[in-house]
Amino acid sequence: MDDNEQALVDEVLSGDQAAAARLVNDYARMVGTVIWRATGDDGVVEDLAQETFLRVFRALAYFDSRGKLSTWIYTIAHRVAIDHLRRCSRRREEALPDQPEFHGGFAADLPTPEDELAQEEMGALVRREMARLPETYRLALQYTAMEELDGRTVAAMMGIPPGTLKTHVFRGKKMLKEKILYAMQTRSERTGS
Amino acid sequence: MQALYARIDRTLEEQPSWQPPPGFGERVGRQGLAVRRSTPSTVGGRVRLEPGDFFGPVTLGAVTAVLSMVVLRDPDPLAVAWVSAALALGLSGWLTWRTLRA
Repeated sequence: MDDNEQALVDEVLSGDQAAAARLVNDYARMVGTVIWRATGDDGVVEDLAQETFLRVFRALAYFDSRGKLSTWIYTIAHRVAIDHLRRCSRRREEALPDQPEFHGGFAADLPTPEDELAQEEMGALVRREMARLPETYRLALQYTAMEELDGRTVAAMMGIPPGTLKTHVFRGKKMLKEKILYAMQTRSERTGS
Repeated sequence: MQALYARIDRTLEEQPSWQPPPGFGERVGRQGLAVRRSTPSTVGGRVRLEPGDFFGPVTLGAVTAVLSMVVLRDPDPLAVAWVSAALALGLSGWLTWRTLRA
């Protein structure tokens, strides 16, 4: 933690209201974005961001100043989002339609994605299939795509070694690619028949 | 395949950032300070006591000492019963208060 962060923490701990607002303002955008990416639901972001900061304030006195304040706050945001996802998991499973099993082995015969789908359709397809990835892979992909977060920060947030994060990203992308190709093939079969 | 990977990367990177509503920092900062004042911090799931938290048990101990002296001077089963009841009530009250605060 640098001197500015330490000073800010000290001011908040002394009960300075302006410092408390500054702490929230400094990190709110990233906290909200982490939560948004994790939950995929912008309707819950404000409440969960607020919950994140209340947890931050409760635990601030015991924050280990050897670490980075931002990483610590984003880790709390990640945990708040995970807690929310666990609470909603049953409802989420019911809301998602059953997805077909992917059996692989046909990628080479497919036309290129740009030829197959319009750009907007492709984006929507990527987002839809992303939402169906296993949580660990999805979050690894979502977080590493945020340019403000480096690999070490994301690994710390998720509580995994950096090497494991890279594996999650690689596997997540591979799985996502396979799901997209499968969806595209299904679509072309429907169109052809 | 490279085009597909590039499209996946682009879609991931193009997602919007969240923007806090006006006044969010001030409102949450105010609530955060209030929460900090009213809730004791926990470490490993246990309440970390601050110096002020010892007021209850110290008072209880002092009352116990005084009542014990009264009982010892004039041993009376009724007085012993009252002292025991007061101690039990005080202790359970303090424990309940601690639990509620956690």
